[in-house]
Amino acid sequence: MNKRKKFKRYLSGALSALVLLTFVVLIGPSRSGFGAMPEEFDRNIKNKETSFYREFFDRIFYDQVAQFFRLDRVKDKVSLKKHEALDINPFDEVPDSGFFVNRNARKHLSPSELKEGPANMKGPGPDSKGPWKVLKGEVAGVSAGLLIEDQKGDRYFLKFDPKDNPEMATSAEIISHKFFYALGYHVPEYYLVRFNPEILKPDPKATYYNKDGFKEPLTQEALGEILDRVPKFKEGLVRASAGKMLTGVKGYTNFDGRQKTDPDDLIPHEDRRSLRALQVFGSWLNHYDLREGNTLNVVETENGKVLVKHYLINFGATLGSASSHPKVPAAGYEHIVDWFAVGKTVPTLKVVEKPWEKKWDALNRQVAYPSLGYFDNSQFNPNEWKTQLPYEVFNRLTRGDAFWAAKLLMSFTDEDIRSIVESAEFSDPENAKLLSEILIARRDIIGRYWFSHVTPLDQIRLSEVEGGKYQIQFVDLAVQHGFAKPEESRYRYRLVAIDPKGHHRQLKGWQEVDTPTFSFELPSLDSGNKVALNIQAKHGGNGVWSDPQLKVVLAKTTQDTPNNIIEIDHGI
Amino acid sequence: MVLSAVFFLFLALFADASSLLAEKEISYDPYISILKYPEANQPKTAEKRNRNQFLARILEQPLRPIEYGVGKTAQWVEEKHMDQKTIWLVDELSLHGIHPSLKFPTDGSFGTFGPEAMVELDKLFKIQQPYVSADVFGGWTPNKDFAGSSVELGGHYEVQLPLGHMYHEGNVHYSRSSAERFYGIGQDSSPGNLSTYQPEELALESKLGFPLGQTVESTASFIFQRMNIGNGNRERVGKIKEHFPIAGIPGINGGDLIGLVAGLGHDNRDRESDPKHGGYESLGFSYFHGVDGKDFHYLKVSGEVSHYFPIASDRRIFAVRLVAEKNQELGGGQIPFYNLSRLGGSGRSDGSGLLRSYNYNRFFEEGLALANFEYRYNIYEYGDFAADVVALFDAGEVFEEIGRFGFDELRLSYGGGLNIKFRRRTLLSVTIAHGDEGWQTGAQTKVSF
Repeated sequence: MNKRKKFKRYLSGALSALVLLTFVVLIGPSRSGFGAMPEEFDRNIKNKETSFYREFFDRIFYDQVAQFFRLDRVKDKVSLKKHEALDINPFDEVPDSGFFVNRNARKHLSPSELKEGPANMKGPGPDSKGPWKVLKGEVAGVSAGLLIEDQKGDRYFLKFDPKDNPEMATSAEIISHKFFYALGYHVPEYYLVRFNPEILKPDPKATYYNKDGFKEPLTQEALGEILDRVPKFKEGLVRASAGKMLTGVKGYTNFDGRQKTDPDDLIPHEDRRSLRALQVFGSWLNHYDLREGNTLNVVETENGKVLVKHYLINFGATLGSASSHPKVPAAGYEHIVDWFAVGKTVPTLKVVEKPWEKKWDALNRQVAYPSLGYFDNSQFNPNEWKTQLPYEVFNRLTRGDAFWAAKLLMSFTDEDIRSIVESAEFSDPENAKLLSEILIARRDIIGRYWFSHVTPLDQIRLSEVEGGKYQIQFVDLAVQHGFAKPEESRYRYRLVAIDPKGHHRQLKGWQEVDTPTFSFELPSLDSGNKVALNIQAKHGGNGVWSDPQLKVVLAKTTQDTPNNIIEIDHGI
Repeated sequence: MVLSAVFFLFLALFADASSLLAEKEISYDPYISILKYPEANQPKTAEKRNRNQFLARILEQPLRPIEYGVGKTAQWVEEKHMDQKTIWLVDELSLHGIHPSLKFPTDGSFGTFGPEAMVELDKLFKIQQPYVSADVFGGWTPNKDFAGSSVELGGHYEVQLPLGHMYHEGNVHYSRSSAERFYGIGQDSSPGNLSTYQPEELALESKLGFPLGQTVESTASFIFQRMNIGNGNRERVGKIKEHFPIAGIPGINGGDLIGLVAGLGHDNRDRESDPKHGGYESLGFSYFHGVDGKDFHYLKVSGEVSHYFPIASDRRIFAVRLVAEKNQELGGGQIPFYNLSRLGGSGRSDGSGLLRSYNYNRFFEEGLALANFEYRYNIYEYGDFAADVVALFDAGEVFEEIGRFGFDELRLSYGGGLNIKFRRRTLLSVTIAHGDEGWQTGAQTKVSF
């Protein structure tokens, strides 16, 4: 009896502790300082750290098991629920934020602006006359890196190419960071530098991790050994990408959940279109190393407001490069350990080879262009492209998100792409030409794919014409980019009334038109009522009507003004 | 009235040519900084969402400490460059001729293994010359179910002779195991007759090797073997000397032997640790004689053929291995039971042949015939790492006389396995096989054959 009482007492104690713990966990986050002063804000933002190995364990092993215990995710998977992005505005665009800024979308950047990238109005980077003080060094595998301070006191991290692949990693970094910047992401300044190794002067306190992982003083001799690992160009010059060190760094950006200590970070990151769309941009630039460890949170003051900017960093493992070597054949096709791909292969007895294996075999298992690494469009499927590590945020990509990303990506003209590729200054112009062609073709593959999975209409303009009629004009992006012929493209629309309670009532059946403009008459609407214009497109003689429909919602903002577009939705 | 009609007609005509109408565009800013769902960006909504998520993931919470512990360790390994340091250590050891590895007991099982190492003395003492090399090795492992342990020690030297590529090799090998299985002799031995014995062996070998080209080699050896046999110490299992009549098991008290062995081998495998094409063939003739008054006197003839066939790709390999062995008494002599042909188990050692749904040492007899078939296909490859799944089939039989071999007597095993490889070196090979005596699992750090 006593034992039972004792047990009950322990049990109630344990339950109380659990309740208290739950209370602390639930209430704790609400104590973050909203409206804090800059210093306090800076102090409150938690400086988290991660590493590739940790992410590898978390994503490849832990998440794969834990997902079965996350009832919210289980429910979503069972019900095949798709989540609309929460960081979008009513016009299906992503407004500027600490995660994303509309750059090429809002105003087409000029070739010189594209070439400048984030260095625009800042530059020109470290003066290659030197001297540069070397503060730290690192040797990882066959690649090397140095932290330097230039004459102005600015710090840069120099990254080099592997000896067998001159220009590969540095050009990938230079090209891709400019694309990501133009797309709208916050990225650090990276400069392509060529310098005489003699300008490097090790700081007396400088250390480096040698190839065996031991920390040693960075002497002139050690520096020489490090630089022996990198390719040399004419007159003994060394080529590197110089990434300017960011100040105010506060850890990395989670791709899942939010940073509770940042008062502005209120939308779960997996529901941010700007992060989901990295899957599409990554597929274009073959950025298989998109992961939390390649992001940085930076506290900055902008227009008098303190905010956290979420930077993407490290682009040396994009295009055909894996930084220290060309990409492995499975990169982009499978995660580093892809349980699903493995599980799919086991019962088939490998009767059929995987697409990337066929491609690798067709190339006699050789990398044809050492300076470009392993990169082409053969067997490339935009919907099946994968990052090294799996993230829920990329799984949540909806068709609407992908359309937005593809639209942005298609905003780069062939000339834009060539301009940015040229800025990598390949010694052999053929490499630049080939890479531009690959990127142009890959852009079109992605655009064609995602435009065929929505109603690809954009730049929707509403006009009031005389007689109380309205006219809608739009640009069919599939036609604009040459994926469909205008004469084989048709559109249809219908009007649906939406009452203040959200009930829908069809006003007019489908009306077909063969031009991207049509007029229609709106019935007089009661206060609070709206009208949705559902539009579909059909491309090609035997095409089917696009799905999901484009929804354009019209309403009067005040009784005296004409109807206006209050919402655009490409669906999920 | 007429005028009105004309006006509306005029409008109607223009309805389809609306661009000609006077238009007034109603503009909007598509990049406006207002969210579609403003309530999603409210602190209260965020907190509520967090609370709901915490509750929906309450079942996951017990796993979080594991994630934290392992994750933090992984982070520490990377930050402190422990991976590079480990590779450095292995390379350094290798440079000094020290090669550590894992030793598995003869009854392969998951989780039971011990340390093993081989030391190349010429590298350790930095003796740089091309004529002589020498190494020592040793290993220890707990036996399956921790029934005692196994120890192995030995040494080897090789001298390149001035005649062509001929060489001389000397080997010393000592091994002792606290419990090895014995079920009796013959194909019909029963699993119910399980007993254990404790072998302690010292073997000396002096060998001459004659390479006959890049892939062919002939050898001739003189062998001395001293074997002590005791009762095995596995709990709840019979002891050999109590379970079987001593007179019925030749060599049950051990004995000393000398032997002469001649061998011919051909090896054109592309890589021993992960063969994808080529093969290995060997033929051996041995003569043994007891030297301590024991009546051991017999001949052994053995042959093995292994071949690897890529099926349209090196990602699909069909591997075949055929083994035949026959011991023949001479002049009324005997063959000690521990040198009989043996069958059963999942490890390819110089002991019991690969019949993977049976226990190690399941069958003892004068002769054996064995066929192993494996279909190995790649299921994973990412950079230097790769994994193959194996579908396996074994058929084997022991027999006293060749004439008594019968296909209907063959014992079969079928099952599967997984080989995990790094740079085409097998790191771990695990198998599971089924036969008429049930399931058996096995694990080792090399490919099965």
